[in-house]
Amino acid sequence: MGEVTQLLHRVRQGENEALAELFRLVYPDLRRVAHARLGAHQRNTLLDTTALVHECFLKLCTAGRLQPTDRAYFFAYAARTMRSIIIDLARASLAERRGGQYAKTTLDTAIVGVDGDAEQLLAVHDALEQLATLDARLAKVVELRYFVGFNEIEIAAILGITDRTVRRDWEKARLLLAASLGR
Amino acid sequence: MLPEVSANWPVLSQLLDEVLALPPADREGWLRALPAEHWPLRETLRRLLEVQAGIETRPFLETLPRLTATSTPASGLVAGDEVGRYRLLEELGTGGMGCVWLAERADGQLKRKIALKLPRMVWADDLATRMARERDILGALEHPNIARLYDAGVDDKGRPYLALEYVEGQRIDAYCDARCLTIRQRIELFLQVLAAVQYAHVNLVVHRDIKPANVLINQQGAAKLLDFGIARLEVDARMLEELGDVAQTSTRAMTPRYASPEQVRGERLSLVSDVYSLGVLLYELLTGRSPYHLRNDSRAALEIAVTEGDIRPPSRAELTPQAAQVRLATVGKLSSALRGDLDAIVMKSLSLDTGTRYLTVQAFGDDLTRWLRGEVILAKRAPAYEVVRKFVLRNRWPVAIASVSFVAVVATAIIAVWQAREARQESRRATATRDFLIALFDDANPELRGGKDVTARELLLEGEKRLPAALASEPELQAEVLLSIANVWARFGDVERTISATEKRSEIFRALGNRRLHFEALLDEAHLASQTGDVEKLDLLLNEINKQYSNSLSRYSTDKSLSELNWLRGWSALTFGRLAEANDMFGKAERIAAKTDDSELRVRAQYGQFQTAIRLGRLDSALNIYRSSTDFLKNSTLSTAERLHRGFELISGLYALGEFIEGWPEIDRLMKTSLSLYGADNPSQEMLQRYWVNWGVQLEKFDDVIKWLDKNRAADNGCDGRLVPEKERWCLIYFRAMAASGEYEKVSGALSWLRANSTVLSVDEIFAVDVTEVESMIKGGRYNDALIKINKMNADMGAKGAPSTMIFYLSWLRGAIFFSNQNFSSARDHLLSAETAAIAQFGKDHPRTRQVMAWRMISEIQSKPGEESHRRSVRLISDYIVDLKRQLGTDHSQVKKLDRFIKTYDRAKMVTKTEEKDLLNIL
Repeated sequence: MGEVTQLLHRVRQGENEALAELFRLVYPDLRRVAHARLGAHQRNTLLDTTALVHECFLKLCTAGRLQPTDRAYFFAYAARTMRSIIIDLARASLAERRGGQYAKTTLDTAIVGVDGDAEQLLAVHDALEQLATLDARLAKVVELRYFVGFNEIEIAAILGITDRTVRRDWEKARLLLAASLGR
Repeated sequence: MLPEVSANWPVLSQLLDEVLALPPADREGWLRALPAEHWPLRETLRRLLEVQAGIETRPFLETLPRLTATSTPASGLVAGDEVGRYRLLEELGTGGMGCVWLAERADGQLKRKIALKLPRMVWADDLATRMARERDILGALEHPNIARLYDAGVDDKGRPYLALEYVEGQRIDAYCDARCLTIRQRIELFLQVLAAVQYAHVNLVVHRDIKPANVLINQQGAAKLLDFGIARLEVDARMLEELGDVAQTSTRAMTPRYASPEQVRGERLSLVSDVYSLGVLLYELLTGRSPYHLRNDSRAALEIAVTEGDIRPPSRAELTPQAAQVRLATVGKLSSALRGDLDAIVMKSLSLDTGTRYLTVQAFGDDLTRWLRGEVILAKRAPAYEVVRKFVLRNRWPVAIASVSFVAVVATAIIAVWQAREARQESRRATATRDFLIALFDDANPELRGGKDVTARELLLEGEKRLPAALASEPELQAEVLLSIANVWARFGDVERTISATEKRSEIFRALGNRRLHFEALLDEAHLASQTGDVEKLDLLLNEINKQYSNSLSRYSTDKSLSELNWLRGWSALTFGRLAEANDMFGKAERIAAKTDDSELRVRAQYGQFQTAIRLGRLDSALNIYRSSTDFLKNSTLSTAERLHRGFELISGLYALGEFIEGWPEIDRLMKTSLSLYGADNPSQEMLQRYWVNWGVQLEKFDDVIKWLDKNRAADNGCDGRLVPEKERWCLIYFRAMAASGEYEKVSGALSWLRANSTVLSVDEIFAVDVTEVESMIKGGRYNDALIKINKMNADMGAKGAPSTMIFYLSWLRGAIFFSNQNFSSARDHLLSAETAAIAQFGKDHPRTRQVMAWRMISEIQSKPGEESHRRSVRLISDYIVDLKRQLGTDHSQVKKLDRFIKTYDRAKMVTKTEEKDLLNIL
C-alpha cells in the first residue's frame, strides 16, 4: 500500500496526526492548484484546474504513495484542502487590504473589486458550514464543484452517487446558499 | 440557514427535488396543488422558488471569483523560456517578491545580458500602463552608481517583468569585510551610494528599500544601487505571498531591518525615509551590528525597536573582535574612531523625528565628506542646515522667477522661516513649518495631481489659504509664514496679494495682543503703502501708529523700526508737500540708520532728502545728494537686487534734473544689471526700462533704444497691430521714441490707431499720445492739422479744467507751430504762457522751464530784432547752452539749434527765409 493510502486509512479511522501528515505531503501540490484556480488569467482554463488535481493524484500514485482505489477519497480530501487554502487566501487578501496601512496608499481603484470577491468567498464558506450541518452531501457537492471545479460526473464518481442526484443536490444547495446569502 | 428550512429539511428536500424538476412555468400550479399536509411549508417553498427564479439565469456559484491579489506559482520557468522579448538564461535568485533571471534579448538585437526580474504581481487591468509609466520615470535615472532600468512591462501572457542592468558584484557589507576595509574606506565607498541616492532624489525618485542586498560593488570597486524605486512598483502591484512562507515578511515591500520608523508605521514616505535607511546601512558597515537590540527575532520586536528609536551610538554598539579585525582595528580603537563625530552623523541620520534627520542625502554626504577632511561637521553644530542655506542663496535672485523655478522661490521663502526657527532651537515650530511646506509641495507634485503641474502662484495661493488651519495653534508662526509669502508676492510684483498677506499678518498680531509685533506689522503695512503710492493709506496707518504707540515708542520700537517710522513720516510729509517736515524726518531717519549701520534705510533716507531737495528747488544740493548717495550705494553691502532698486530710485530723480549725460552710464549700467538679473520680461523692471528708453531718447541715442524696443517690446507687445492691453504703454513709448528719431510720418497713423484702440491708458497717457501725434504733425510740416488737433485737445480739456502740465504742453506746441511759420510774435505769446505754466508746474530752474524760456527769448529777438534789451537774453541763453552741453552733450540737436540762433544773432540779428526749415523746428 502506498504511503498516502495508509495515511488515508488512518485518517478514516480518525487519527488526527495522520491527517496532519497527509496534509504535509500533498499540500504543496494542492496549493499550486488552488492558486491556479484563483488567478484571473486562468479564466478559461477551468478544466486545466481539475486536470491538475488529477495530475496530482496520478503523481502520487506513480510515486507509489497512493493506491488508485483511493481516488474518490483523495479527491474529497483534496477538495476539502483546496477549500481551506482558498479561504485562507481570501482572508489574507482582505486582511491585507484592510489592515495593511500600506495598501491604502499604494493600491488604487483598479483593484477595489477584490474586497467584494474575497468577501463573497468567505460568505459562501460560512454558509457552506451551515449547510453541512443540514445536509453534509449537499455541502460536499458544492465543495467539489465550486472550490475545485469538478464536473457532475466526476463528483458522482467521488461521492458514489448518480450524476442526476449530483445535479439535484447542486440545484438545492445553490438555492439554499442563495437564500442564505440573500441573493 | 433559514430556521423554517432547517426544521423541515428532509421533507423540504424531497419537495424541492419534485418542484425543481418541473419547468419554471408549472411551479406555481404545483404549489397551489400542494397536498394539505405540506401546506405549512407552502410559503417557505414559494420564497425559495422566488430565490430560484432569481438565480436561474445568473451564474451564481458557477465559478470562483478571481482574487486579483493571488499569486500564481513563481516556478514553472526554465532556462530558454521567453518572457516578453527576453530569453531566460539562468535563475539568479528567488525571493518573497518573485524571481530574478539572467536573460538576454530573444531577438538577438542586443547582446548584453540583463537581470530580468519577474515579480509576482496583482492582475490589475491597468498594470501594463503603470509599468510603462514607472519604466519611463525609473528608466530616466542614469547614474554611474545606479543599476539602470532598461525596460518594464507586461508580456502577452500577462506576466510583468523588469529588465535591469545586470551587475556582477558583491554585497557592500560582504565586500567591505572581505577586503578588510577601514572605517575611512568604508565611508568613501558609502559616499558613492549617497551620490546615487541623491541623484535619484533630485529626480524625485525615492528608493524605499535600501539595504546591503541592494548595493553591489562591482569588479571595478564601484557601488551600484539596484532596484531603484522598484520597491514601490512592487508594493503597488504585489501579490499575496505564497502560504507557507513566513506569512508576514512580504506583505510590505520593505525590509524592516532597514526601514524608517515612518515606513514601519505605514506613513507617507519621503526623501528623508531613504536617509534613515542609509543611516542603518552605514551603521552596519561601521559596526558590523544592526542598530537595534532585539529580544527575539520576530518582526514585531523589530518593528517596535524601529519605531521606538532606541539606538545606541555606533561607538557603543556591541563591537566584536571579528568586526574590529575586518576593519583593521581592535575593539577599543574601533570604538574610539567612531566616538564623537561619526556617532553624531550616524545618529542624526537615524533620528526618529524626520525633522531632526538630515534634510537631504546631500547634507548627509557633505557631513561625511567634512569628517573625511577633518572639518567641523554640521551634525554637531546648531542645526542651521547648510543645505537649506545654500538653497536659499542659490535661489535668492529673482532670475529664478522668470525662468526656471518659480516654485523654488516659494520654497525658499518658507524654508527661511523654518530655518530661522531651527536656529532659534524652536524645534516644534520648525517642524510645524516644515510639515506645512512638505504637505504643500506634496500636493503640488504633478504625479499626485494626475500629471497636472501646479504653478507657483497656485501653490502660494493654496499655502495662504491653508495656513490658518495648518498652523491653527501657532498664530505667530502663521504670521511669519505670511511675511514670507508677502515677500514672494512682492517679488512677483503682485501688489494686491502682498498687501493682503501683510494685512492678515498685522491682524494676527493685533488679535494676539502682541504690541511689539503689531507695531512692526503696521510699519510693514505703511511701508508697503508708501511703495505702492497709496498715500491715503500711508497717512491712515501713520495716524494709527501715532495714536497707539506715540507714547510708548521706546518700549516697542527698535532703532530699525524707529528709523523706518521716521522715514515713513518723511515720505508722507513729502507727498503732502510739507517739505520742511519731510527734510527733518528723512534727516532723523538717516542719522539713526547710520548709527546702526543700516545701509538700506540710509540709502532710502538719502533718497528722501534728494527728492525733497528737488521739490524745494535746491537742484545743486539735490545733485550733490545724488552723487554722494550713489557712491555710498556702490560701496554698500546691499544685495545686487537691492542696489539695483535703490540705484534706480536715485537715478529717476536725476532725470527730473535733466542731467542726462552724467546719468547715462549709471542708468545704462542699471539696465544691464536688471536684464541679467531679471531678464527683459519681468514686470517689476518695466519702470527702469522705460526710464532707460526715455533717457536714450533724450540723448538721441535712437539706434540703441529702438533696437532694444524692436527686439523686446515691439512685435510681441502688440505695437505691430495687435494691441495687448497691458502692453499699450510700451506702444506709446515705442511710438514716441520712433517719432523722436525722425520716423514721425510712419508713427503718425500708429498713434491715432493706439488712441482709438487703447483700453487701459490713463488720461495723462492718452494726452501723451496726442502730444506725440501733434509733434509728428509739426515735424512733418502739417501745421494746420496740428492746430486743429491742438484746438480739439484744448476743447476736450476745457470742459474738465485743464491741469497746468497740459496747458504747458499745448502752449508749447502752439508756440512751436508759430515759430516754424516764422510768426515769432505769436510764438512768443504762446511760449510765454507755456513758460508761466512750466514755472508753476516744474519750478524756475527745471530743464523744461529753461528750454521754453530760451525759445521764448529767441522768439522775442526774432520778432523785434536789434533791441538793446536782447543783450541780457542772449547772455541767459548762452548760459543755458553751457548747461545744456553738459546735460545733453555738444552734439545734441537742441544744443546745435540754439547755438545757431545765438551765432546768427551775432552775425545778422535775424534768421533769413533761406535758413533750413529744420532749424525753425524747435521741438
